[in-house]
Amino acid sequence: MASAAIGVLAILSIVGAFLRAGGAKRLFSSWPVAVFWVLLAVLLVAALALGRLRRGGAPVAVAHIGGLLVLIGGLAGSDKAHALAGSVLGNAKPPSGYVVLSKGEQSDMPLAKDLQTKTTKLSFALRLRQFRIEHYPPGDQRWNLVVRASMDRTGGLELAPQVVRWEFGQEIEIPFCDAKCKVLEYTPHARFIPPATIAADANSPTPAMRIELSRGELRRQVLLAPTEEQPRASVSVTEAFGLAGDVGLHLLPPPQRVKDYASEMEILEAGQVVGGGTIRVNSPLHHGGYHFYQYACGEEGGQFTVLMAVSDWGLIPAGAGGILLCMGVFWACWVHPAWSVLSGRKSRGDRA
Amino acid sequence: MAIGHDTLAALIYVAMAGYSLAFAASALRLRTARRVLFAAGFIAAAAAVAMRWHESGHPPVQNLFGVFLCLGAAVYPLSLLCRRVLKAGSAAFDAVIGFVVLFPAGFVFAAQGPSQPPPALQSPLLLPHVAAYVLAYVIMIMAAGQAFGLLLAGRDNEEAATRRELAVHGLVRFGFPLMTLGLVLGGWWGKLAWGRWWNWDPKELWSLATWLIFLGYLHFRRATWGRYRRFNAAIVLAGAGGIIITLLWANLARLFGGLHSYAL
Repeated sequence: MASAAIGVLAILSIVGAFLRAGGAKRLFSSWPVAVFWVLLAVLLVAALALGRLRRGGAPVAVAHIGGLLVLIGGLAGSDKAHALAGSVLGNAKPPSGYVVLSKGEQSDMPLAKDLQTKTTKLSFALRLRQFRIEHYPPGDQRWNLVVRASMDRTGGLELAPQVVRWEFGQEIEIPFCDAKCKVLEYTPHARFIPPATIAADANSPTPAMRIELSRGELRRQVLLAPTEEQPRASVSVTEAFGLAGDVGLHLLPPPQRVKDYASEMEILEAGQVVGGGTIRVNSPLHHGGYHFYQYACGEEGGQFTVLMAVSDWGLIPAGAGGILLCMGVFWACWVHPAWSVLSGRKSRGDRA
Repeated sequence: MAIGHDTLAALIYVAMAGYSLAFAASALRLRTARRVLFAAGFIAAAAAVAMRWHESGHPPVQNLFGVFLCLGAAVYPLSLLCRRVLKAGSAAFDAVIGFVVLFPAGFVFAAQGPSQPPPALQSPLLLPHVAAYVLAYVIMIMAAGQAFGLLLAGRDNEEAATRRELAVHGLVRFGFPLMTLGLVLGGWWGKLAWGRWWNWDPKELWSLATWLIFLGYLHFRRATWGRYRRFNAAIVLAGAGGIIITLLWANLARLFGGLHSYAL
């Protein structure tokens, strides 16, 4: 019977994999599968109670208790269990909600997934002390040549910027005009010495690039040398050749990759700060039966943070179950056979 | 298909050459040559892992290139361990596994350069989670090799079939705890990063299905006292199929887009 139950679960998992996360969650939370989960839990309890696992000894029993606890934890923490508790016990605590906060703001009201509908008031409030996006240092990545263009010189009807791939000495066609560009020199860490000299300087965070613009027989050499004070270096291609429109070539740093998001929080009860901490992607904050996770932030970064509040009644059984499952399986598959071999050798040695 | 032209790629190709020549030496019954070539392949693969780790500043387990590289380096020590301690496995087949798992790193994902990990991948659980799975997958594929040999063996050679059956069981019993650890660590990591033990992601479900297939093998073999050797071998081969799907299809096909997908 156990093998059949495992087979059914394996087939359900494969079917679920084709349904993507949403469909799989609906499948595994559907009433027929919920009944299957309960029957599986009953089967495990019966096997333990009736001593059917005696043949495998203590390690197999520990692994099965672990599996049972994982199942109980999963059922207790499910949306269905929360809904059932809400309808039967009148406990309206939602399994999850979202808290949207700007710097200095506080809230005790998690929202539903639409970030509009209010759910259940918390017994405490959360205040965002500060939110920051941490980036990786730029390193030695080459800066990008970016073309920005607009249909008229007043900056109206601006087109989406285009990054042009560049290599030394190669002529590149500049989008939105009939001019070309060639990179003659690139110094990753450069110091600009007026009027037109670049010196390598390991302490400088900005590069310098000497380019040649060409249109037919016409050629112009330009030095793009951003500095810490003036980090944008650009040249107007259309102005250089007296063309209509507005096409500019900009030397810009590569986009910095996000290392982490950090929301520095304070917990308030009756207006008093009673706790707090920094929430990061892999480091939630726990208070009052809820875990708060870094979920999202404002598009430009820094304007606001979105935290996910999760209430999980199955946290302890599922966590303990995972540990017991691992312990039992390692014990049954590694320690027990190794012990048998070693004790066998020892007894053979004693007999000899 | 891509061919690398740097030192890292050269190390991978040397490792692949070492493993394939070790297989050839094994077929020609040149034991010493097989040992030396297999070890040389491992040294090159391990050097490639170390080089990638040094270059990127973090363990190379974030993309498929890194995972296949680690699989290629894990084959030799696991093969040695299984053959010496468990008395199970075959050096020739293990060398083939080494060559096959390094092929995607050398020719398919060769262009995947090191990148800075996104926030969710900066968990201290990443390395043990992936390492447990890498080791488990290599051992289970070794078990599948023995299971395949069992299915090919004639029904008249009872002694050989028994030996292979015991080898399959020994290897599955060795790999299964690591697979369980990988699954549990993944759940723990998911809980810390996304607030859920389980996110119903297609790759999670494929890895669960694979775990369940091997769990089913252990249960069925125990319940039937190891009577149905060929059926048990077929279950192990199905588990190996699950591993291949989890590693490749679930990662790369848009059909299975999700948290673990590299296709989107």
